[in-house]
Amino acid sequence: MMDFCLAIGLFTMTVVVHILFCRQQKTKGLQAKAFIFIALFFLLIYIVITVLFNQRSFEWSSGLLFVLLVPVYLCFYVLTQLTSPSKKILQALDLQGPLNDKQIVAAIEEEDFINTRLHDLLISGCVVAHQDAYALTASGDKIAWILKAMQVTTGRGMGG
Amino acid sequence: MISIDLLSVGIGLGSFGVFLILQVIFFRWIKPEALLKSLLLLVIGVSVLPISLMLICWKGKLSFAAPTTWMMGMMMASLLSFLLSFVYILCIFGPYETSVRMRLVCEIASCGKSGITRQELFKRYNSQVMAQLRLRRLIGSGDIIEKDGRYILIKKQNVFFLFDAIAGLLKKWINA
Repeated sequence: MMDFCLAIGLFTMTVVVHILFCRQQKTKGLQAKAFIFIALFFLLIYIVITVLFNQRSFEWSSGLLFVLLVPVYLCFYVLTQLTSPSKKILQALDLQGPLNDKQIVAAIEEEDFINTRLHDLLISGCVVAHQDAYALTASGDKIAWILKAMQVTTGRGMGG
Repeated sequence: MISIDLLSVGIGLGSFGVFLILQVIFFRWIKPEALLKSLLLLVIGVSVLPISLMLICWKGKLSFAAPTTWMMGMMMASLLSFLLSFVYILCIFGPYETSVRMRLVCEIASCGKSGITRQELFKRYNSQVMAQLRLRRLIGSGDIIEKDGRYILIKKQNVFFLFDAIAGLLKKWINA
């Protein structure tokens, strides 16, 4: 039980330190890498404490719990700056009441999801633009290969 | 004798393995409208499975531990299995199934090395396609209904609003 409380306590501290770190930043943008470094630091503290104390009972499961909470937090953290098309549809229906197809498409177009995501892919170097055409770079090819492998494994088509 | 800690980790990972196998086998036939409900059912099932497996191990006396330790082990195994499935859905399956970026990569890749023109890309994937895919999923999950060509929100307490509320709280703390 002590290991569990320790893992949860240290994870809470990780989140608090990250929030304080984000408050200090003047430029806008995601501080995901900083969170990973802070989490690694607190994970190291967890390992040191569990090794030093003899009364260990759930050290592996609590450690794994700490590790799994990292991507969970990051998912919520990313949502503080990004919105999804599904959320946009639900927000539009919540604020404006019943809507038809055209109005829903218009609500989605307000956010310009495709152009912003295409821009992100260009910035991250996964896609290059040649005149009016888009092609994948080597890193984009790797992502496409992984997606293709997932399509074959799961038997599902392209998402989106 | 196996320690309850390692047993919890093993059963948690094993249950997640069952989740992955079931997802890979059965989700190929699941239509977008049934996706959210099926995922939710599978996650609930996989979170309950470790409790049953731990009970079997307890009855089989795989470890001589106090009942409270066994109870804690059950909770840990269930929590680990739930978190593993949750992380898989949020970080792997979710982006693969719903990410706009991933769809764009797939569309560009389908045209090979020559690439795809902006016009062709927007012909294949646009706001209309995006809206239709999401409306099917949201109708299937029971969040919205279609009546006389109009869509109505019926579930205001759904997973999207819950995520939004948590993210909103986090944003408030960061910007405070």
